[in-house]
Amino acid sequence: MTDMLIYPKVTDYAVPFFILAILIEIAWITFKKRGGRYETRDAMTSLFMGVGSVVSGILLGFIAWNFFMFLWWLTPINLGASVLVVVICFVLDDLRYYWVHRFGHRVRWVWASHVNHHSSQHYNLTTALRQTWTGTFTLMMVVRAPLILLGFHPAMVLFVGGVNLIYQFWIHTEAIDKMPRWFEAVMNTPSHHRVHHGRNPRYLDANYAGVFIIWDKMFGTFVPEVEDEKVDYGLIHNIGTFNPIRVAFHEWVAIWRDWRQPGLTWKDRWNYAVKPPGWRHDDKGGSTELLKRRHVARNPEVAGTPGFEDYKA
Amino acid sequence: MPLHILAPMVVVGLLIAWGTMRWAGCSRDLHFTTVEDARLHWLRHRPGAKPRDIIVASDGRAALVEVASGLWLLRSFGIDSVIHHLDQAQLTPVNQGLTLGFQEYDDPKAKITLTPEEADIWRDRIKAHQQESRND
Repeated sequence: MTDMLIYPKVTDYAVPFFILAILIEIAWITFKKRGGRYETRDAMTSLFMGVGSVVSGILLGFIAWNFFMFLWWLTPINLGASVLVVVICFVLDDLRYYWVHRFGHRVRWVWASHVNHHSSQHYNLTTALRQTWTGTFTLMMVVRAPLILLGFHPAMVLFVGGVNLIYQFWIHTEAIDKMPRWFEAVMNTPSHHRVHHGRNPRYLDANYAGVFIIWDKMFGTFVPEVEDEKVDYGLIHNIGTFNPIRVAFHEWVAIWRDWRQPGLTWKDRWNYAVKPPGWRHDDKGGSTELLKRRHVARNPEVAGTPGFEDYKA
Repeated sequence: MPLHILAPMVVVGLLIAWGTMRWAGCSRDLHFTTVEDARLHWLRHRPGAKPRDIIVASDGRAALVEVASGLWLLRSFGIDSVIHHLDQAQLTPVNQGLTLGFQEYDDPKAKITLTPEEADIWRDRIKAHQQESRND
């Protein structure tokens, strides 16, 4: 299949809306004295990461595009471009997003790319734009392969991916508390996504959804925002730089340094790339499970509550 | 969207966002006002590691924190804070304090403003701790 299909690059067209929404959020927080926090250098770092991500897409996007067009050439199936097909593609791509995002937190090679999105200690609309520059190197483009082989045109797959990212912009805010119950049940919301950005043991490795929170409920990774436990944003070990280049590459450098430790086997080096962040060959690392276990040991009353269902006091 | 429209729009957007944040007072730095304040910030980073001793710099932007796992630096980072283990930190005396060099790519250096008396105390404390660590 080689016929062409053209969709607008929706993320580019959304830029004026992003800027306007950020200004409105700053004004809201300033005048209302609630609904989040802004720090100039942190927010500017996030915005520069967003710009760098667009530049990275321009420079490296051809790799994924050629891979997708190769798959499109291979597949004998063409589902066309009807509205129904676009809707189905959007839903299936959101499932794809869930798994890529989950790998992004559980496989260090993918985390090295995604970590920058979590590297701010703030949670506001600029955090949404703190995007990766190195996504191409993770090779997670292969997770989109089934969609194209099933007959969804690569242009359509990228279009719905862009719509997915635009949806996720507005959920990066503390200015919205909770949406109506039916909406919270089905859709990803500011409340659900705040949990995802939390470094509290309760909230670690939860709520990977892009648009539909149902994937987390289906695959057992859903944790609700608990009223009496405010989300603490950032990383387990927060980074101390506003330099976008250091933000973009710090975990890749950390992997390289781990690989260069003396006395490692090749299996150790492999594990430093594919095991969850925090894994160490000498067992001195701090996994999510260990952090949760320690937290429950210190606070036995939380055992069995959301985020600690599998942990006993 | 053509690049000649997108690029200027992004530049103007960044400038407006920066100006708005400056106007809204978002460029302040965190200061640890008391030892207790520093302790609370420390516990946010390491909830399980209760401090044995804390020394807050007189400008309130850094603190030495001693816990069971050793000596740490707690320092302000915008309106937030970050921590560093001081086991392998490189100390360099500078005019108004100390510069601490770290191995981490995400935060290679921290300049700590200290009075000459404070700088002596901090340097002695860090060096003593590093010596102890080497002996262990």
